[in-house]
Amino acid sequence: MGNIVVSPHDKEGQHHMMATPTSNNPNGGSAATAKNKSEITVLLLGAGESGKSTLFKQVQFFHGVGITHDQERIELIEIVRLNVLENAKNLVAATQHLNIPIEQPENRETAKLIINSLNTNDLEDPSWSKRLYSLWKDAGIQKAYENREKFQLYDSTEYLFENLDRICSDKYVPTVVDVIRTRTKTIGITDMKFDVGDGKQLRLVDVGGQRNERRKWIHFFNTVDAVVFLTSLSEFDLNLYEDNGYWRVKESLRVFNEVVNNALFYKVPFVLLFNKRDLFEKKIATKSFSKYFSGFNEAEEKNPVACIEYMTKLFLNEITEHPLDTVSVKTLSAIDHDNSKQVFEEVKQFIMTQQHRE
Amino acid sequence: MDGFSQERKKRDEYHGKSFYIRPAMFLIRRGKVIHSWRLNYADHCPKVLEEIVLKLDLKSGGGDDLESLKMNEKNVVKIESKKVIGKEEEMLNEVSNENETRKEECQNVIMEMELKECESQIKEQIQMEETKLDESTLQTIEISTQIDMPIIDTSREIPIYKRKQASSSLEIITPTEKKENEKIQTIKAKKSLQPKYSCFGNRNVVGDSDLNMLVVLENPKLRKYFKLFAHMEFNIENILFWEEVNTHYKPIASFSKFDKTKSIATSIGNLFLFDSHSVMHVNTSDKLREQVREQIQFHFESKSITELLPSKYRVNRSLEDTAVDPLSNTPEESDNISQLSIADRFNETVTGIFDPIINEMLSSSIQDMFLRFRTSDLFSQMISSVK
Repeated sequence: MGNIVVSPHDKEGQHHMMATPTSNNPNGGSAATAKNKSEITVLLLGAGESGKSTLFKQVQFFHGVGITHDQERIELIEIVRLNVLENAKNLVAATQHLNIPIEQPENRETAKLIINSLNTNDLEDPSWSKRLYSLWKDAGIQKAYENREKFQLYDSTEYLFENLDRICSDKYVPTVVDVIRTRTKTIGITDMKFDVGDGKQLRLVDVGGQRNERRKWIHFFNTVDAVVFLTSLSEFDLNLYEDNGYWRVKESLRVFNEVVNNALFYKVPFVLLFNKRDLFEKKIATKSFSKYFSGFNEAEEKNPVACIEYMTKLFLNEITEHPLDTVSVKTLSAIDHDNSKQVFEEVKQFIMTQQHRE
Repeated sequence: MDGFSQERKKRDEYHGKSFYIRPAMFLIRRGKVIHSWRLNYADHCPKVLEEIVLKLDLKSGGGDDLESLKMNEKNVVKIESKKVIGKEEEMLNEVSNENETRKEECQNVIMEMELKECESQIKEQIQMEETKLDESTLQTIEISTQIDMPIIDTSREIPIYKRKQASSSLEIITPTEKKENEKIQTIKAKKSLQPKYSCFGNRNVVGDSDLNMLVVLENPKLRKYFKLFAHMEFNIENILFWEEVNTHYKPIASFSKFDKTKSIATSIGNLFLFDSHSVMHVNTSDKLREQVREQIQFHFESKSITELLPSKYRVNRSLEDTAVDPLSNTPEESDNISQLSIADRFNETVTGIFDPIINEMLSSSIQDMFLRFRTSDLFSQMISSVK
């Protein structure tokens, strides 16, 4: 695994970084036998699409790594456009599945092309911006979008369709926000390191969250110094990508239970991050929260604070082994740069304090 | 296995001799040692996988290996690394059992010690060395009668070694070389501190735009590097799935090789898609898995085909001489659709049964991984090898 090492200051006051030798050693290379206390390993865990990689990208970004430069974001054009196509395909397929007709004939033609032949190279042609936007605004597609809990769709769908005029251009260079909002399913494990002062380095490990990816987490369990567990607040009406008949909240609680009560983590600081607060607040404005949680007071269902409190209790009730004084709970909107920075700083401080206490 | 019989020795026979144990690893395939790595005391583990994948001339891929993977699957579940690169599973087995190999060598040490010519020297060393081997280790020590290379290093001074480039072979470092190396390392370290950023590493992206993901995947030599990188990121199952489908399944998938096509398709399905306990289970949606399962049933279950087709057919064996007829074969019936066209239709569609998952992988996760690969040392090595 290619590690990225970020040191916060160089002579010009800028960040600089270097890649450590490629290694598949979870212990980080040569010092495999003894745990190096100058390095704090933090695992980002959670079920699929909980926002682990989004937070990971944000941390990279505010440490001056990678996507701050146009040249490097150019590499991601293909992935952004693939996201657009994937979303468009899923929406068109949903109209068929939900038996909602696409109303305009020209949009139906566009839908056929999307399903059969459209590829990312075609999106360099600006005319596709208009065609795709017209399809997006079609009443049939919008109705399918309103029912998006019934099928799999990326959170960034609306954002991408609203920015088609930029994306469908031969001069397109993804912005930082484009990169942050692009959905890429993480497979395997990636990590980065950065200095946190006092001669210590923090090693942040990002992992895939779907069921088959979780068996790989164990590679890092014996070296972990802190766990940040992410769960999505906005998934209360959604089912799993890998098992479409299974409720995401149930899965997230199950995974949380397994991780937080794991004997290897008894003495490890644990942070529970409720992510996608922005989406959650939008969602409960239009959808019933209490419909999914029988124990929740219906009168409070439009109050995000009450909903989050309820979710917090649900998760904390899962903790049977881990000492509660080493568990911290926070909310996050990982697509918001400032919020991510602030929350991650708090998380870092919590971990460092716990480490110091130890 | 021949040559690996076991014998237990008493604990005190190992006292004071651990410094003379030289660790070794063996690549064993079909009961034969085909490659060995011999190191010295306190050496770092060699980059075994890199050497196997990039240097050793081992057969890469192949339906046989897939079959053996499938057959051995239950046995290897406990050792995930063993199956990470299917072609080298026996090697990986050796890696995971490195300790056991060392134990075997411990036993060899004892055997060699029994030789009279070493005896006096060993007695002296026993007095000097107090290192003890763990009791539990000793209880399971095995003996090897085929390892004929010397295992005891009787010299007192242990020289400093370095590994030859891209190899596990060793050479001694002289003091002058050591100083030169330190100089080079200093220069490299200074260079690495220059603020040249990359999204995923410290170097600028290698500017060889021709080497895109598909080019790398489709070229067996280049794919080795990508595969190794995938292993390091714990996601090699995706590349192996791509490899099995594109290099082993698709080339033979046809009506004329119905049995083999069915066998490989089923094996791939079971290994990568349908068994959630398989370490090769790839990350995709249940919807796509179900789609592939239906396609496999449709193409290879004769009943399904019979039901789907407008009526029953009998395929002319002279046209499809080696084929096992998957369709019902009521003799007298003749249909509007020609027999040949049925085979053609089968051939047209059967190659693409895994495509929905392959396409999903290529459009998201593998694409993302390839971007990280482009900034890795392995990519640079790959470029050098091409040049």
